Amino acid sequence: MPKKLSLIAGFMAMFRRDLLQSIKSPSQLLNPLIFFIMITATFPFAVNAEKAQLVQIGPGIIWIMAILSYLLTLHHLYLDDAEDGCLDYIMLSPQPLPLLVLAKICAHWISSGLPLIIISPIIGIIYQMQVDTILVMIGTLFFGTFALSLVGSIGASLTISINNSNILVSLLVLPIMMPVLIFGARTIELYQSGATTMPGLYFLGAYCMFALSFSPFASAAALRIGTD
Amino acid sequence: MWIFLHKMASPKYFYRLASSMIPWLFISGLLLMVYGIINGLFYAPSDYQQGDAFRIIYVHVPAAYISMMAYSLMAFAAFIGLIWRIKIAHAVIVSAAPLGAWFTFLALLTGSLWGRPMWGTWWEWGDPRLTSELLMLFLYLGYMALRASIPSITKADKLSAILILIGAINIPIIHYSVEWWTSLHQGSTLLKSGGPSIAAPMLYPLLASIIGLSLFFGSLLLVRTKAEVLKREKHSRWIKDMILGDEV
Amino acid sequence: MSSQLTIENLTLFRGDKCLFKNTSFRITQGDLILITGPNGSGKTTMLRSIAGLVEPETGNISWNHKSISVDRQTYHENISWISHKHGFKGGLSIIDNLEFEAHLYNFSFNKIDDVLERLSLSLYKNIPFKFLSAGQKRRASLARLILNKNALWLLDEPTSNLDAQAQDIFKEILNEHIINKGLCVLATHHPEAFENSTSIIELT
Repeated sequence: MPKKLSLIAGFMAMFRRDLLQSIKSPSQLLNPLIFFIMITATFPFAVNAEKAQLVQIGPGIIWIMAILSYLLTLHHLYLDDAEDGCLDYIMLSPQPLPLLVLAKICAHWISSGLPLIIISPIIGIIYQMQVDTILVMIGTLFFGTFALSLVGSIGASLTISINNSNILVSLLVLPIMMPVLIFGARTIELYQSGATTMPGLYFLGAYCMFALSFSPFASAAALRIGTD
Repeated sequence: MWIFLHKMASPKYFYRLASSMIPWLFISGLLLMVYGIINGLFYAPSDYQQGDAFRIIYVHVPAAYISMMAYSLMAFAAFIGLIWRIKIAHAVIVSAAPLGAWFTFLALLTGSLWGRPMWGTWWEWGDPRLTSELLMLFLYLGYMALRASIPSITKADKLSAILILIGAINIPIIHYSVEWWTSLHQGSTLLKSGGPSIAAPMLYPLLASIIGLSLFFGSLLLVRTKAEVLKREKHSRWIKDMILGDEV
Repeated sequence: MSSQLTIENLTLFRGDKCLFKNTSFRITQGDLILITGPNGSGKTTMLRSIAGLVEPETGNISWNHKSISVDRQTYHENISWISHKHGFKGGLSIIDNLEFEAHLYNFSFNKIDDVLERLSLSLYKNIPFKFLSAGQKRRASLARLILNKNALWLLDEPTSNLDAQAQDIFKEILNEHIINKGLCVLATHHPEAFENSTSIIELT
């Protein structure tokens, strides 16, 4: 008697497998992180900024670098599975493809986004941020990285049939990510000059919800078209 | 009506219809634009606030309008192409993209030239309308970059159609940006409840400019789409007949 | 309930080259269809379009009279797919990989040890997949067929990299499947190895 298809089991299996995969390839995980740390840390030297200036430019720089280093990780989201044939099996599974895509996105966020968020306070200190500002920054990055995983998945799935698509993924994803960048960096800046953070965080949360509603489906559609 | 639309889906019929429409669109567009620009540049009264600098409106607004209209057209065609599998829709999108990109660039350029005397700056980074219009340019370029990277035409069609639909959210953002956020850019003048808030002698050349440039855009779009259709259907019978028929 | 795969008017292009045009056939229980042809003739593409991974130019594929693009889930619940690539993650062991697929494809994991024993893979079941030889990898890939118990098998050169003994085991498995009213479409370079085939599609 075939047992009923469990969506949760399918989601968790895909999520667990992708998470295990990222842990087993530490360089894929660490390289973008090191990139993030290195560039944000050397920026003040290049710009030769004073303390007050650092406080001003900090949020923007941290956000831009977070996005750029995050974009480096998107490359592998579907390409690894396409290379060893796993993508065929994922697409031929009775589980709904958008569900499995969502599982991959969540695993990607945990393995790439959380480390970034955890490292960010150190960078915040370099940029002379106060503790409460750092908390705001973490809040914005929390939503921002999740939104980036969602939107980045669309870019990665659209370019799956293209070789050397790293830059193209960034090119496609950045325009759609611009509102997140703007609101993320601005919220921190506004907080530093005394305004409230809630509107910005609400916007970021709403953007995540919106992206959540269409990204798995758009990515699934793009994957089916792309793997011909 | 439906029969007409159904016929339009056939490349051959579309090609013939486009060929007959192009001269009309081109000439009427050109005439309206000439009227609009000459009237706007020379005969419309000076603005009491901005003096003569406001006259760039006769180029800036039509260009900006078309940049958004072209993208909306592309999004609509992407929807038709993906859901109803009508191939000609994809040919329209391919043809519209470079035109839309150029008009977006023109809107940004003329806007910047206007901004300098008006706001004292060539560009204002915090401004939502400027930013979202710039974003639109990137969306156009991203579309063209994606297309260029995928060798298979059917695959490129479908994937880039998905991309266009995702970016379509930008259109309402551009339009309502001046309402939702504080912006240097002025609010809506034409599409307001209560009617346009611009004096009649300035309004008519503006409308003529907008409609004229749109018709002109339409003719350019049809010319490009014809070329695209030829490229895609190059193996089909009707093109062979058409070419041989001309030679006979 | 008898299972049936119906293919109508399948036309497929690869770029400008037409691989097959208006091909129609039907497969029912106990059928073994072979697809043969030289390299590049479109065997893999035909299999992929039957699986629903590639969209054909024209044509309808129906499983039990329901189009597969309409009711994808039911179709996927009944397919087992084997391709050139193994579809296993190199860093995980065979057991981990198969357990992952068990959740994805909703098959039972209980008999895994017996299956691996039959395929002579018991010794290797906990080693990361990337350390196995080509033959071992291929045999691991075939483990899916036994575990999954799905009706329709779509196999792309399943015997590549297999030694004679392993090939015999595979033929045993295949014959069991056919006798148990399974369906199979198999792409191969060596059609003569499968004498009990129902029909052969030759692509040029």
